[in-house]
Parts: sequence; structure tokens; C-alpha cells
Amino acid sequence: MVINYLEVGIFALVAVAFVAITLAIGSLLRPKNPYANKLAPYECGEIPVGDGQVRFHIRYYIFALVFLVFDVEIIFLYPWAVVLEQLGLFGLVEMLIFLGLLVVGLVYAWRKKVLRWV
Amino acid sequence: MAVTGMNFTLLLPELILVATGILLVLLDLFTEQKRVLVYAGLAGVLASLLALIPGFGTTASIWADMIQVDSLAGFFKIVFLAVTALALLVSLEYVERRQIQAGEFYALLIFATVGMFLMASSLNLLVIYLGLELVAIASYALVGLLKQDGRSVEASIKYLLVSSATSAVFLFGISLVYGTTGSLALPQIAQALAAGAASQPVLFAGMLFLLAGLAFKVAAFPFHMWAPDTYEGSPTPISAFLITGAEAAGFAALLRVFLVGLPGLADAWTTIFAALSVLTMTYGNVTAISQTKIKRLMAYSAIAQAGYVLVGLAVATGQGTAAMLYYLLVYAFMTVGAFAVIILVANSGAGEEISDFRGLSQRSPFFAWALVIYFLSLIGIPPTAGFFGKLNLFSAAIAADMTWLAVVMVINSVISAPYYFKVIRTMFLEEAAEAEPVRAPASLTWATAITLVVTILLGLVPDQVYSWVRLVAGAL
Repeated sequence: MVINYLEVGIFALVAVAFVAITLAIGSLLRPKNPYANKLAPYECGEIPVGDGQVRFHIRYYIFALVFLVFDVEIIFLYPWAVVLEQLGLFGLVEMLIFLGLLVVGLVYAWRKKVLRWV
Repeated sequence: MAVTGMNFTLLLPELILVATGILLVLLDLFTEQKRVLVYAGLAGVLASLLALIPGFGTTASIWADMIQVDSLAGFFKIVFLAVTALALLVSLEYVERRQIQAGEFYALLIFATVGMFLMASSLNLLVIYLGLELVAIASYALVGLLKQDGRSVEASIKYLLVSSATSAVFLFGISLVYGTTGSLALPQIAQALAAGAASQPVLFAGMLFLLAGLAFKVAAFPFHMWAPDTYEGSPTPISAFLITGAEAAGFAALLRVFLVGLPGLADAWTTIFAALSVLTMTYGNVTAISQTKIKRLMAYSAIAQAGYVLVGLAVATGQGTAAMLYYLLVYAFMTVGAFAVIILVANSGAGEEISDFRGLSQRSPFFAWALVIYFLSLIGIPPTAGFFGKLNLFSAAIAADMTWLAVVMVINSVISAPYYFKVIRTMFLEEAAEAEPVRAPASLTWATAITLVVTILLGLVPDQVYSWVRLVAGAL
């Protein structure tokens, strides 16, 4: 029984070693030429303003939550779209039910004025 | 595709409940008449109950063996639906008075019921866990719905923290059992145990984790510390719902996991359950004596009652299981009934102290006498249903050569009498500050009448129901 976990152990060691070795080789080989602009954090091309460690408005949380649901929904849609032909009508109806349930959530958030920025 | 393999008829009760929950969410958004939600919820519960009929008596494993439809699942589903229907009834006035968000309240109540259904109707550890989480996540929100009340929020956070930790413990137990037996399905686990896996110490540890995880859910000593605060702080109908419904679901999972999955380790876990049972009932009863708040008293009484029910697992016989089932059924009705009276008193403007029950016998004789019946039943005095429930557990313990456990049970019943009688004395012998009659809404009267009739009937003519639970227990 224990011997079965040996593979897992070896795999874990290899995984850790792989990252460490790659990083070490990289730092040895790559040219080093740091300057102020290059070390600044990347903010989608904007010039960074203020500190990175600021408090976010709590309202972002609810937006992120609503966004996340539909973000994950898209991920589910991809494999479904690939096999839709084999699933046939059943697959279509099932996915529509799933989407319908998510829409209920959106309608709820909407009617409860969660999406309004105060 | 796999459409033919999915038996929708057998899953109809669950599907109806899910649809009802979603309907309640939508109804809440488009109507100001929040009472409609209760009526729609009751209709959904009734429809779900009717949908149980076609699957009655059949034993089937559906949805790739993830869902088990059998008589035990059927029994528990009836208990859950009864509890939910009664919880909806007693909530009607309470939700309006406390200005609780009605849509969230009723919809979450229904979704929690779906979770209980899953807990009782699966032989797969992961699906049982899924049901457990569904109940828990719905309950966290339900417990904290009195947002202006600090105690309610505290109760919610406490419940969230403890329950998440115990869910992790339960999951870890599942992983250990899976690691040693190679299966999540309880029958296969039992086979692996019979084939010799039972001697592994890792499996034993897994069993302990499963036991601890579920013991938290039924609030057994020493895993009870969240229960009094949670049951005291949460909205009163939710206390009733959790104490009866969620605990019954916990016991359903315990029965499945230990009797079906781990009979190979019965020597070990019967001893543990016997110890837990004695500790739980004694702790609950002794602590309840000094309580001055009625909801805390009921919380400790619930811990004590969970101790009685654990006797059925300690004996691990068919008779013990039948006694457990009977007691859980009886317990659901008498406890929700008692909470209906507590809600009535709280709604009338008085608080939730025991002293607020002063003179209830004059202010509302019907409800005062109803509470007397529920309390007599909780103590276990004939001819109430609680007496037969305890008698069954008692004889199951004696039949299994655990007379000492039966003796402890009787001693505990005696210890429990004073704190129930304290409330009865307050109602009948102390004068009320105001003698005005209490106005009883129809919903509370109905809930009290139904629970009262069942509590008395199950005590007077228990044979029919008892022979049914014997059958259910025998099929496990």
C-alpha cells in the first residue's frame, strides 16, 4: 500500500526540483539590466499611481462574485460545444436549464440592486 | 446518450423541491405579498410528498449509483418534508414581525431541505458530503438573517467557522477511507473491510474522522460547543428547523456510513457511540437545569435528546435502528411544536426568557397545555409519543445486553424533568405582568394542532408506525 504512494512522492520531488532548477538556470544565463521603469509594476500600460497595498471598495467583491459565475459558465460551455453533436437535444436542453438557473441569479442580483453603484 | 439511465420519476421529489426554491426566489422579486411565498412553499412541499409515492417500496440505485432510493431514504424524506412544512407555517408571522428578507428565508429553507434529502438518499460518501454542505451553506445564511441582532450574526459566524472546520474533518476522513479501501461507495467499502482492510490503522483513523465530523453535525458532546449559541441566536423557526431537520439528516448519514459502510469496525464504534451517548445526554440535561432563556434551554435539551438517539447506534442492531427512527420522527413533531409556542410568546411582544412565560395558562390556555404535552413527551411520560420513543430505545439497549446504558437513560430522564417542569410551573403558577390574552395567528394554531395530534397519536397508537420503521430498519 505504502509503495503506491512512492510514485506520488517522487513526482512531488521532481516537481519542486524542476521549478528550482529552471529558475536557477534562468538567473545564471539571462542578461541583467535593471532600471527604474523596468522594475515598476505593470498596470496595463498605465503609469502606476499610489501604493499596491490599498483597501479596495467592498463593492468590488460583489461584482467579482457575479463576474466569476459567468466566467466559469463560459468554461463549461466550451467542452459542451465540442460534444454537442453527440449529446443531441438532451445536451441542448440540459445546458439551457443550467444557463436558465444562472440567469435567475443575475435577475436576483439585478432586482436587489446589487449591480447599482452607490 | 445517457437519458435512459436517468430515472427522473424516482428523482422527482428532489426536482420539485429545487424548482420550488427557484420559484420562491423569483416570486420574491416580483411581489410585495410575501405570504404568497409561504403558500407556494407549502404547495411545493406537498407536491414533493406526493411525488414520493411512486418510488415507495422500491429499492433502486440511480444516476450512476450516486442516488439511492430505498425505504430509509423514503422515511427520512417524509420527516424532512414534515419539518419543512411546519417550519414554513411557524415562520409566517415571525418573518413579517422581524422584517426578515422573506425571499431569501423561504428559498434557503427549501434548498436546505434538498441538502437533507441528498444526505439521506445516497450510499456515496461524496454525495453525502455534498448534501451536508448544501444544508450547512444554506443554514449559515439562515442563522444570520436577523441582521440587526448581534447575537444572530455571532451565531452565524460561529456556525460557519465550526461547521467548515468539521466539514474538513469529515472530508479528511473520506480521503483516508478512500485511500485504504479504494472506493467511495459504502457497500464496496464494507466489502473491502470484510476482505481484510479493517485491520489497517489508517482506516481506523478515517473512521474516527468520519465519526467526529458527523458528531459535530448532530451536536454530540464533546462536539457541541457551537450548538447553544447558534440555536439561541438564530431566528426561532430556524432553531427549530436545525434542531429537528438538520440533526435528523446527520443521523441519517451516521446510519448509512456506519451501518452500511463500516460494519467491519462495529466493535470499535459501538463503544465510542455508547460513550458519546452517555456523555451527551448527561451533559445536555445537567447544563439545561441552570438555563434562564427558553431557547438555550431547548438547545441543551436538544443536545440531551441527541444523546438518547445515539443509544440506537451504540447497540447497532435492527431494533436499535428502528428505535432511532421512531424517536427522530416523534422528536421532530414535539420539538417543532414546542418552538411554535415559543414563537407565539415572542411574537406577542414578550421576550425569550423563561420568565416571559408567566401566566401563559391564563393568557392562552390552548398553547400552554400544548407546551405541557410537548414537554411531557420530551421527558418521556406516557401516554405521549416521547414515552414510546424512549421505551423503544430502552428495550433495544436491554436486548443488546447494554442494560447499564438503559439505566443511564432512565436516570437522565429523571434529571431532565425539573427543567421542563420549571417552565410549566412558570406558565401555570406565576401571575403574568399583563393579563391580556395572546393573539394567536392561524398559522401557529395549525402548526400546534398538527404537532399536538401527532405527538398524542404516536403515543396512543404507536404500533402501525413502529412496525413500519421496523421494516425500514430491517431493509438497511
